[in-house]
Amino acid sequence: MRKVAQIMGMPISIDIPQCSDGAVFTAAFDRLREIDERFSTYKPESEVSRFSRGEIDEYDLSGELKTVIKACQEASDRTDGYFSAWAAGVFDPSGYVKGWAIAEAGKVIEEEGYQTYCIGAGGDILARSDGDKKWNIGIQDPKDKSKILNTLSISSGAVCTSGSYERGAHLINPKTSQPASEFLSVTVAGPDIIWADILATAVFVMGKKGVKFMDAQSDKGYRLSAVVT
Amino acid sequence: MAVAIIGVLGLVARHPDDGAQLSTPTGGTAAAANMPSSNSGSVQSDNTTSSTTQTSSSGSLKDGTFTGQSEFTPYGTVKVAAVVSGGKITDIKFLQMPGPAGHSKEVTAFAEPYLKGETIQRQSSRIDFVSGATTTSEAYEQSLQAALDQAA
Repeated sequence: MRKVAQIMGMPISIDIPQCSDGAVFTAAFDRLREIDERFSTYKPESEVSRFSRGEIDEYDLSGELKTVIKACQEASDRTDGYFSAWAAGVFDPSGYVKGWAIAEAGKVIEEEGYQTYCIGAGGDILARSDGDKKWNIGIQDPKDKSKILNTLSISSGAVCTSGSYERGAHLINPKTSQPASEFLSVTVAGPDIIWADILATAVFVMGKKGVKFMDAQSDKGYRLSAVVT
Repeated sequence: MAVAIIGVLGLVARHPDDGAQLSTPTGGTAAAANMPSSNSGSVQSDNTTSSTTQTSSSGSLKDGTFTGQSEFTPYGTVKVAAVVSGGKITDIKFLQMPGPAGHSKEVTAFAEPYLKGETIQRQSSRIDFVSGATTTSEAYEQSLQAALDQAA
């Protein structure tokens, strides 16, 4: 069965082939909603919003937020600052939270006893299989959304695409404060969704030198699946 | 034939991510950018139509035109019909799309070709999920799945 829910400002799809119990899907979606309540920069009363306004003392932060802050710092260090939760001048961990939230939803599904599933949230896909199931993940052509550039057949892993928005908003390079403009989209595939998502963003912002940066990631199993200019 | 459907809206409407600053969209795109509202709580839709993507290996869709149920969104109603011919989806008809007031019409005109094109493309490639820097249209997916369930 596959279900969709609108969370974090986007439709999130969960496919669990062997599961016909709606409660499992609800549990996974609820975990995503819980994360959104705490981390959404669109919700003025979220913990992140209150923290960004200086309304919470560092010592009173939830364990989850502390973990995410630390993880964002590490992500910045590991990408030479190209991935940054502080690029906008105010703390915005959304780029990290998205991949992490998907991983958390996956944990809920596994705790319910299902090891074969796939979660799709915009550009981020988390696939798991404990048997013969292979998930076919299409990489969309940013120049023509009715077209698929390439299809990856994955048992277990993550596929993350970072890209410029069609009209208006762009990802800003934290080093130059200019919109990243060398690529239309970057797709990274690898074992862990959080890191694949961070890499896709960092490489997108880096531009062409991101391709070389990815060479150093290949021994950990991360690769560039697509780059569109 | 296994069919898994995700529609595509050609919009700027994604939750800002990746710790990078988003510059504000200008002009008429601002309204389109806000279309799936990203500042509200989640829409509880996971208790309506669920998509069954398992089909028997010998099964294919029945020929004909199958109409999905109306899916209600804050911006209007979405209702699609699937045209099946030779066991495959050959066309999608938009019986109802959000509009016509204000920006919705612009969104609809822009989104329809993409929504249609992507479904037909994905079906022939047997793709389960699509990775792309765009949002998907949940209402479209649910209405279409309801239509396909009748064709199965």
